[in-house]
Amino acid sequence: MPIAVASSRPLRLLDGVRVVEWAEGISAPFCARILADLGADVVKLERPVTGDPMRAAGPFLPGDNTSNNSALFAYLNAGKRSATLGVSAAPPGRDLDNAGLLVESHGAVDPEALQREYPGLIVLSVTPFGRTGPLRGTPSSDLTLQHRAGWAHAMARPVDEPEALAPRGGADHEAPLAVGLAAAMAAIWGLLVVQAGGAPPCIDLASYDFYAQLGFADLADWSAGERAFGRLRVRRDGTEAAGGLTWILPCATGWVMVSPREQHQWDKWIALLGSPSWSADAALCGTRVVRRVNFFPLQEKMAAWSRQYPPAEVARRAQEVGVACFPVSTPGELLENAQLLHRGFFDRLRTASGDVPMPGLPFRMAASGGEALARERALRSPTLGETS
Amino acid sequence: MTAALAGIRVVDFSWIIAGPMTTKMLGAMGAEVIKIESALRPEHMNRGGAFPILNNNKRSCSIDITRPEGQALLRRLVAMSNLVVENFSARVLKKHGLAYEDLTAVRPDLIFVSASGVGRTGPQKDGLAYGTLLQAYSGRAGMIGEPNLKLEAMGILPVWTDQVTALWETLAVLAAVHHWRRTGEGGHIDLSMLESTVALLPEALLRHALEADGNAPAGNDEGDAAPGGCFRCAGDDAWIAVSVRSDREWEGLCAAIARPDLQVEGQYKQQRGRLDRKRDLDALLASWLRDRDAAAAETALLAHGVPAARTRRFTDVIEDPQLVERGVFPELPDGQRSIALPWRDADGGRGTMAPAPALGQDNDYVFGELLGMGRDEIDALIAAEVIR
Repeated sequence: MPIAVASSRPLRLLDGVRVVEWAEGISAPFCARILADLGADVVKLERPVTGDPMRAAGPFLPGDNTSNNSALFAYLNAGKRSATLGVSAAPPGRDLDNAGLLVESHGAVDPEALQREYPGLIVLSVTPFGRTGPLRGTPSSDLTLQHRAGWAHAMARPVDEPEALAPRGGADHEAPLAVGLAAAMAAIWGLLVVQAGGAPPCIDLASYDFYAQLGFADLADWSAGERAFGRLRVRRDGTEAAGGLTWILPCATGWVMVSPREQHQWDKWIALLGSPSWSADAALCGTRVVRRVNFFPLQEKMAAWSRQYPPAEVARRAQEVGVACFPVSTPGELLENAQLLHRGFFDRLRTASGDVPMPGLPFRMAASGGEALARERALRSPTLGETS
Repeated sequence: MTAALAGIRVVDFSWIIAGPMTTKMLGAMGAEVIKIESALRPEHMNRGGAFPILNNNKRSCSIDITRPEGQALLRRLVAMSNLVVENFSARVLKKHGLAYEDLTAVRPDLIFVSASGVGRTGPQKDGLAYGTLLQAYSGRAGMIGEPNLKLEAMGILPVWTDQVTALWETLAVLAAVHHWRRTGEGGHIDLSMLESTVALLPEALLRHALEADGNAPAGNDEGDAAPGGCFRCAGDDAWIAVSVRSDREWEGLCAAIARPDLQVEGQYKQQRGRLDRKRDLDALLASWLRDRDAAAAETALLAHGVPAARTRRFTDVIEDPQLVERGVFPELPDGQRSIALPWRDADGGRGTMAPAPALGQDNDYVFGELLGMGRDEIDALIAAEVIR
């Protein structure tokens, strides 16, 4: 197998792949954004005049009053080219001449007809309920889909007071972005099918299917006979994270989470706390089982120590002795996180008034030929219709 | 359908959730996955909980990787494989002579994927990490709900970071295989679970970096819905999620709740005005829903084009005709229900699905057929407890 010579070019895993995106919302544009990050050439087709409605969604970049100033639009579309459709806003036509993959979110294309016209084209549809089934076309949002799919229920289960803690969706746009990530996976699966000599597939990815599958732990419980899935906590045993051996502790400001779950970790943790007198009480904390039973009394005693220090200090000292511990981060802390900065995790969004950090790909890769995936890239939000 | 990963062999050292979920998906796409297990590890012995759901589509080979004879066999196996997936702590594979550098000596074009808590470089690379703690460290746990001593409804349970890690990990592997087929190059992928989670929280980071007013969406606040959120209905722990994000949905809501007077009121005419008065509109909708049956309210709202879904438990979800028709939770020959790939092809296929293997089920295949060892040689290794 030939090994390519090292070069200064960044690694483009999807070099030569041409993608057309005809999509709005979050999931499908993020799918195409990931493909662009991996080296594909992506053209985003937008409706005329206003472009993707996401261009009008805040927060906005300062010093820019154009339609390129939505920060979220920039995150979802950086690295793509933009072209506008004709006034009829018809489904993509000539734009597909050289494309290997169409990513669409409108559900308005006929994939089979498109493939008759463009025999090499992979068609990836990312829609709320998919192309089949009784719920196809039902009104929805990503929040209602998470509630319908059981994910929101699991996010607030079990709790002591169900009335006070409603079922809920995830943080930020993580749920629809994860759908986009699954779609990017599906897209490359399609490319691999073609690479292996197969016919280009029509791919049907539904957000609802995806959110339902997030409940794999519920499926395990269901398989073991659970049917009620009540939100009211009826027993503590085994309901806490890691079987009750993961604690959240208040600090001088903010919180940490710590999990001294193994005996040797517990011993080191207790030594770090200065081996307080309560730690010698076998009935309180002598074994893993006892520590789980005494989750709350132990939390109170450990908090007396953690309250003296800021979260980063508690985490640093615990990790130094080999105990898993991390702060509950705030967004500001993440932007200054030494680990993330050291690894060059943040890309830079170029704006009229300077660079703004935004998340990049969560992995580094060095190929055996010597090229590496670019990190800390400077990216721009595509100007509406710049290629047309 | 041509298998996307036909001819790709994976040596799978991974355990717990993210890695096994990754290799299960690779198996569903046609890769031959050989899971390296050991009777010395409780997870491999017990095979309980979600194990049967996370370990479909694999062969099982049991071998003691701490023994030099076992390590030599594994190097021979890797030499005839394309891919290694692992999530040990950094020193384990090095100690056993199975690190990337060791294995590229026998397989120069190997694709080697390491998933770890915060990545294999940087000041915190040797820290101990668990998925639940990373959900706190990523910041999402501070957004979904108020941090609280009982870890309730704040994004610690259910498991999220492991799931998104599996998506990014599979994506990275697929892109690397695409590159390998084109260039013959392998490489080392160093994936961070922390970065995998933070990459899906862009708006929170952008808002902070831009010093923008307001919060990123989280929990039941989508940011762009007014009214919108999760509302209590009549009956035991009955809830419904509703999103009104456009003029059309607003008109639908006014009709559904028989309040045409609201529709003509100027302050509510446009989305901006409704968002400014979200609190009032939420209260209005809450009082309409409070004494209504959730299913009836859902039907009424959907009939008027308003996105709505009552909150469902997993028991409702697994039997939902939409998901049944789309094959989201297939039943395997051993009777176990599992989760398939998150997309369908035009024939409704979601990849091949086989039950999780028994421990060491494929030892004869691996040692006999692949490595060409005779019965006596294999029996000697069993007697010496290298194969166990």
